[in-house]
Amino acid sequence: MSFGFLFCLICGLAIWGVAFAVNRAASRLRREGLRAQGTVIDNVEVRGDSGREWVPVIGFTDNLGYPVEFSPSVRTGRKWPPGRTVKVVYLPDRPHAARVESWSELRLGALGLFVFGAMFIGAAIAIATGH
Amino acid sequence: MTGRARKLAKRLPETAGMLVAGLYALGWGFREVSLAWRLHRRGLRAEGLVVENVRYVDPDSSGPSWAPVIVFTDNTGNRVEFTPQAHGGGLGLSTGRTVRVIYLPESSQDARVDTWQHLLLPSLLAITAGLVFVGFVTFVVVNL
Repeated sequence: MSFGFLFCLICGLAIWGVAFAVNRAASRLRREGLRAQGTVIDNVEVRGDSGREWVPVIGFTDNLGYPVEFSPSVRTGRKWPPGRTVKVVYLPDRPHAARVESWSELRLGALGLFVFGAMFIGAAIAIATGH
Repeated sequence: MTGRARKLAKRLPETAGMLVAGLYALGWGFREVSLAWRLHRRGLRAEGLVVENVRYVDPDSSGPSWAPVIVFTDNTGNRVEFTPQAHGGGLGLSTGRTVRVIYLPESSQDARVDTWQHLLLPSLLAITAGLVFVGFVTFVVVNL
């Protein structure tokens, strides 16, 4: 068993583990999460890889009546129109970790990690079979 | 703390910058661990309330972050307001929720949130990063 095979196998399995955990957290959010209507309240300028990028800030009121702000985790670098309403989902004890309720926001991260892990597993199989 | 270390590292040439940033991270980490130890031995606990989450933008980061503001009453009856030094993934606190805080009776303004994530995780990460940086510089210098 070569070092390369073990390295790729362990990396791939570790990344798959993280993908599984991320996906399970998203499923829990979908099952147990509270829904609210959020509004785009601002766009924050950040220095991205290709110059100037924007990160939207979404505000909503949680189940106890407190104002909450957060930024979506999937970022395109473009502005979101202020005032636009979005569906928000959050766990009642962690509203600060709210997410926008959309497929990309909840599942894309896990899918990306799964593909990334599959590349390592594929490399491990390629090494093991000698291709 | 990482922001300051990163700025330091940017201004200095590579290896020297890494060494300074590494030593800075190590110093900060060990100071936080020793504070956590003193808090564990003789800290007083109180119930704090998260009254606000203040948005701030670090120009080097990939987006805005939120710093919780926590208010509690110390053993002498003073109202103390503080913000955890380290924030970020997993360390967020929601407005309106109560948290346990821990502080030394002589410096209640230097309070900490009483969970292991807030007390130890940032310092352990800083120490690990510091060791990696200093180790890398040592490796480079030895192999010159």
